[in-house]
Amino acid sequence: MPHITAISEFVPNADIIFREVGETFVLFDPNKDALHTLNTTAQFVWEHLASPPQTIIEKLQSTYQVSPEIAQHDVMRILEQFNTLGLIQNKSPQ
Amino acid sequence: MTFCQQFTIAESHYQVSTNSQHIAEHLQHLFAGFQTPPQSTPITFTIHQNPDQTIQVCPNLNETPPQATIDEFVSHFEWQLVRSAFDHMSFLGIHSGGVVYNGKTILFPGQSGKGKSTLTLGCALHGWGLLSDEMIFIRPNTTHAHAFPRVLCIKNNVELFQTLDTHHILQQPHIARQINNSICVSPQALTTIPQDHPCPIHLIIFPNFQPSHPQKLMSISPIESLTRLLQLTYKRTQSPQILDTLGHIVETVPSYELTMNNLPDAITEVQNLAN
Repeated sequence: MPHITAISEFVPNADIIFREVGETFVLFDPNKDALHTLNTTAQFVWEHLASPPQTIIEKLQSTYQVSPEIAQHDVMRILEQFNTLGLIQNKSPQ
Repeated sequence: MTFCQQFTIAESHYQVSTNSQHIAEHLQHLFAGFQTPPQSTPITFTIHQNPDQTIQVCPNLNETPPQATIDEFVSHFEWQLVRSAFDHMSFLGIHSGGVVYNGKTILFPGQSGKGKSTLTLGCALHGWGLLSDEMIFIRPNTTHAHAFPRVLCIKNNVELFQTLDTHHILQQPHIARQINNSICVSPQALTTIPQDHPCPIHLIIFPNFQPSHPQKLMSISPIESLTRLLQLTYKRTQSPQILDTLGHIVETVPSYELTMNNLPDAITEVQNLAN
């Protein structure tokens, strides 16, 4: 499993389906038959996955007016979770 | 041949033939609720009863045991037909009961043992329209439900159903017969909804039979409903269409969980909700 750093770049796993259901955003992993509900921050991170983590941190900080420490903590934790759950993969093959 | 019948499961056409009167009687019972197909080439199954009274299906139901007793065969064959149908059709299949009350379609999704067959048959004996006690087909582009009018099997609480059976359906031997320690009721005796009739879904109720708990109706969120429906959906592929179809349903249809401890009260609760 790739290690997450602020300069890592990730892409969504190709099989993962991102949808809005009601007022909630979800990720569905058909291979594991798992439905993951996203909170606002997780949704933000997912929608900005095209950017490296450091950029996502800066965007989150400016969008939600949170401290750099909180933005960094939240983004890295969510990316770790996405990674652990197999929802994302490293952009460049190791 | 003593028996040869064509029928459809959703978009798939089948023709079953057997040279055994004994098997024919069971199959006629099983297929009573299905419609005869339009002009098209059916998938053909031929069934033989061997001298040792076991049953063999030819040629292409690979997963059916090559030798089975009639009781094993009936339940297994039905499931194999559904699996076969899924390979040919565009429907989603949800493990769910379903009824139509006053023009409103109500689904009872749930795993085995949760009470969906009990609730469905109870409602059907009250004269409500029957979609299925086991499987509901959903057409993805409309999200409408379609019937799967299989034979209904009562495994427990036969006396309870007899009290609801004001039309004495369960006492008619050609309608209700004993198979595998269950009483199996032909859908022909009930108000079945034709399989090609689209039914917009109005209500989703997840039954939860708990004999020692008080009856309780609880609203559940669209996400919770979606999570449960995904677990109960057959023919899962990686197509986003499944999530879109079920997502649309839970967004537009209210979902509830009904903890029930007796059938008459549960039917009343469903009726009140539908009204």
